[in-house]
Amino acid sequence: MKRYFFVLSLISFLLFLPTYGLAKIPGGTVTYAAGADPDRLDPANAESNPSEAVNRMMYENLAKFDEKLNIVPGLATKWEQSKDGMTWTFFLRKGVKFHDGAPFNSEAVKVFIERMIGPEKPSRAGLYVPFVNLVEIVDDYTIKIHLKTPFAFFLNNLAHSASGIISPTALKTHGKDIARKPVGTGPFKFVEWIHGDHITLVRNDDYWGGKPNLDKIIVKTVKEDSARVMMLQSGDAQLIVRIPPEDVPRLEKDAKIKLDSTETLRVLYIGINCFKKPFTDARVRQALNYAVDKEAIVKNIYQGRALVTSGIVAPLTTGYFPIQGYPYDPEKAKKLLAEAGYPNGFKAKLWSPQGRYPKDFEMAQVVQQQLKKVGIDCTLDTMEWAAYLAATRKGSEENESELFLLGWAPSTAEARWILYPLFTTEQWVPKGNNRSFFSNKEFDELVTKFTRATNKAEMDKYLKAAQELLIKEAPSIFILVTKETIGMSKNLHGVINSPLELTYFDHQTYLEK
Amino acid sequence: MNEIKGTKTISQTAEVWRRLKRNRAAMMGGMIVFLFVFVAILAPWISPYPPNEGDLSKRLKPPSKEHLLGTDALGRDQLSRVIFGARISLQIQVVAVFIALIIGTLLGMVGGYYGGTFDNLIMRLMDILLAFPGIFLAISIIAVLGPGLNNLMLAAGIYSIPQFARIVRGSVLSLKEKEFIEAARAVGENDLNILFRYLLPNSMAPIIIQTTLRMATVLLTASGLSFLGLGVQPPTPEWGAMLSTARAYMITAPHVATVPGLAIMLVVMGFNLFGDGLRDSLDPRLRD
Amino acid sequence: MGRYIFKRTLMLLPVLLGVSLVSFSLLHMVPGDPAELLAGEEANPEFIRALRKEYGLDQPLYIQYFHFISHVVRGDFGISIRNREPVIKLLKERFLFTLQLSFLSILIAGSIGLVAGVISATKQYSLFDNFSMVGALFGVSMPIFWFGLLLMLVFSVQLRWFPAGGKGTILHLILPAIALGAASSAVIARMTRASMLEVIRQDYIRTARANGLREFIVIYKHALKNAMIPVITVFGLEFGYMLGGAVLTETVFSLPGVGRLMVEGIFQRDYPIVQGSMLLVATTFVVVNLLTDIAYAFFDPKIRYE
Repeated sequence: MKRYFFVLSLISFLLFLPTYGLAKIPGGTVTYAAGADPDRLDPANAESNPSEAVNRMMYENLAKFDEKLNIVPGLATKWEQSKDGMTWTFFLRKGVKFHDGAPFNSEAVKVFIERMIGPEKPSRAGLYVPFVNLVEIVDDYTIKIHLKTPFAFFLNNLAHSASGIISPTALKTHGKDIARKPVGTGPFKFVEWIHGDHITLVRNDDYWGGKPNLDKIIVKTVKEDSARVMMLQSGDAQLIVRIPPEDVPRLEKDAKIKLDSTETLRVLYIGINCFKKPFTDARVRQALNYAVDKEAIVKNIYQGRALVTSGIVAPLTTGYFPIQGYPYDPEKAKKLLAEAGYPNGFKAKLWSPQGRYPKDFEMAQVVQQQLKKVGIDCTLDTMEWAAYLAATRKGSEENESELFLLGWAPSTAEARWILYPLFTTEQWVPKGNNRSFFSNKEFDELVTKFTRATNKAEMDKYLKAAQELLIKEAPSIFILVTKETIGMSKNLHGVINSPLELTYFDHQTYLEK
Repeated sequence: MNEIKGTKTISQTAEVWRRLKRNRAAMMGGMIVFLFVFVAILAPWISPYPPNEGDLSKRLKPPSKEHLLGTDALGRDQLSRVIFGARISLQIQVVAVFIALIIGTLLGMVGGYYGGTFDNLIMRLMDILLAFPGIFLAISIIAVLGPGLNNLMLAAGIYSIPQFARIVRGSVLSLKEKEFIEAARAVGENDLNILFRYLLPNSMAPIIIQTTLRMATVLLTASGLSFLGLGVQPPTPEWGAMLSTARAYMITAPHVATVPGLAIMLVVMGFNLFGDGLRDSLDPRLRD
Repeated sequence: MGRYIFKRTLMLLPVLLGVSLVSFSLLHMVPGDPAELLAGEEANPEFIRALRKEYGLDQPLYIQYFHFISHVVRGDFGISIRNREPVIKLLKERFLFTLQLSFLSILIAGSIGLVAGVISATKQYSLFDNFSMVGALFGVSMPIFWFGLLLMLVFSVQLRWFPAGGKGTILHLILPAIALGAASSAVIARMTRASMLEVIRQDYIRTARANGLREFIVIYKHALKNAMIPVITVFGLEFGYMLGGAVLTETVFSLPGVGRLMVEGIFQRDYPIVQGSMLLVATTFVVVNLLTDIAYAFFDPKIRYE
């Protein structure tokens, strides 16, 4: 009997041995080195990418983005839109619990929507206030949201990181302090946050989608780019983000590391202050666009790890249309400048942040050199980010900007959240985000039209027209779309590298042993 | 009396120079400093390329015949940038230290000489300035005034004021009880004269030492500020800024960081060696 | 002695008041708005207004300052604008860490500096003397962030002896402590050497030697003790600077110390954080100065504080 048992266990051991190395073994701790310190772990008030990434692991939305940015069911299993586009009905997933034990139901969704449109004014209230009228509970798992106007991209707003649903009981006890005591329904639960060092999350055993594979996630803040790369190489981190393009070829050769690169929604552009002479003249703005050799920038500064763009909307954005932009043509630029009355060019100011976007001020230096070739002599100034935001945010009269490098990525993944805030007249800074003081009546009307459209054909027609008009009017030098390259140990699988510049794990992510 | 003092100073200077000449390390430091100043002055004539123009297709190239020290991330010639950078560094050092020297010395002298409430007030102000994290001061100055060479120099200068004030005050405190000051007072010299004709010349040794040593520190302060993104404006070839941007290529193109890094190190070393030697020569107690 | 310490502690008050006033005014002169920074590129004006109100940023400056001081007196430093954490908690966490790093760093710097300095002085112009003084020069001449990255490259990536940054075990602290302590060890070594050289030439050391005392005892018992005063000064100064936060080292090695707390606070215009950390840094500086002065009395009985 004893011997029989021994043989049996030996056989079973040998049987399982070969598969052992390849099996999906639950468990393990992953250290994830992020590039910046998270700000708040309250979805409605979180503004930095690291916060959003961490929130995505703890919170879930009614609808969510898949990796191609299509909208798929999340905490709502399905939804319906009324004919007039004014009412949305959501059918909620049953048997979902928050980390504190509170049940997820219509009440939780109501609390979430009412917080967004209520007196608290979270930082992301703008996603809801202009559109949502009221919420109506139909039953425990059915809820209706009534809008003020039809809104084509409502689901995108629901899938936005800010729309993660918080436990209503936790929200009641902690109020705004939910920012450091997060409670959601997601696959991972919050443990601790040592500021400036790390955030720890653990597996949520009661997760509705099944028990997550990873035991523990440690999200570390490592600001220094080269330090992050070294941590991955030395094995101190299993996942890092924002790998500088120069390091990519070297890391690709490392047998213990794999890389993943995705095109993002972020367009880097040089804003033009259209309120100031000589930039009031569209020909000057077009000349600027012809004068910059975007191909050379992408090839050399970004080592090909970026994409030349013709407009302000990146290809993966919902509502993108390929439109012919401005090729590199310095002769044409000079001709346009001459037509506009500047045959000898002019002097201008070029501003750039330093280290906010990948290679930002190196790109600015190249632009400076290229503009010089067509006679536009720029002084280049960098500013620390806070001062930069403040300087470019001043009202039209006192704003001293002329050319300024910025990046924009629509956090809702659709084109409206680019065209509307950046270029409509009502969004001029300091009220909105139109730092270029671009103002064009036809454009404003097109934006209103596609926002209120209730069918896709109509929406697409206006969207395309708006983008064409914008490229023609050239309120910015459109330069490139960034790519996000992340690196991880070879045995880490199922990491989500979203074009929204968010890198995170779900319950299926696992460490191969 | 002045004549006697004058001859004494001359013989003293000769003695210091004699001692300094025998100090090999100090002479080496002096040579480095001299070479550095020389390069800074002759920059436009000796640099092979314009410092701010590059060919993007030739970026991050290792040293070669065309580019003796290779090229940087924008394809600019590193040698030319380091040579022009010497100018910027020298300018930062001279201006920043000068600001600190003038203000610090004045405050220290007046405080030490008059003593009492006035001294107390100045020294408490210095305490506040000293207890004030230098980096905060520098960041605020640059944040208020905007980044750039001038504000960088100002920040680094203000940062160094207290050190000068303390040293000068200490020296004046010990000098003012000496006989020749009492004598000067007795013959009715006014305060201004005593301060500038008697006390200042006799406090020169510590001031000179502090000046050379600060020249070294200021360069490091500037590079630290560049690291924090508060340095000079690109494309100015300031060494600290060059080093701090080059750190992204530390592994892939190590020469880009090494060149400005070594330049900073060498010059800081030069000033330190020279300053130490000067201290040994000016301080007779260390005579062997 | 007790009275002296009391008097010196009392002096802390005006210094702190001064520091807080200057930092407050400077901070508010700097352009930029914490609310806007939080909201980033996508700022919305309603949120900015609400946040300014919540933190009293819409009040006149003198009221804000008065408010701040009257709360600080009661031990309330407010909460961070950025992450809503109580400032006092952050200060405690960060200071504890900075304390650890600084201790290790000054320990390394002090022992290397003292030993190198003493040996250099006793064997002036020897190979060791030249070698260690050149080493000391490297220590003070290298930009610290460059040195830190080089250390990481060699010891974490190539040799894998130490982790490449982050907080954790004592192993995590070694490289940053070396990077931070390099300059200090150099300064201490040079000061020890100079001070020892001076003492060794004094009459009483010559007498001790003439009396046939063993060289070892002469050096370590008599000479070193008397040479300590200037060394202690440097020690105190260096330790004070370390405790004030080492933003460059902390950034390179991703460490949660006081330096990064303050500098990032400035960049984010997180006013409560900056004001709290300024007071902390100023206090440590003054306290370390006081401790240095007390240490003088220990090494030199002639110095008495009244």
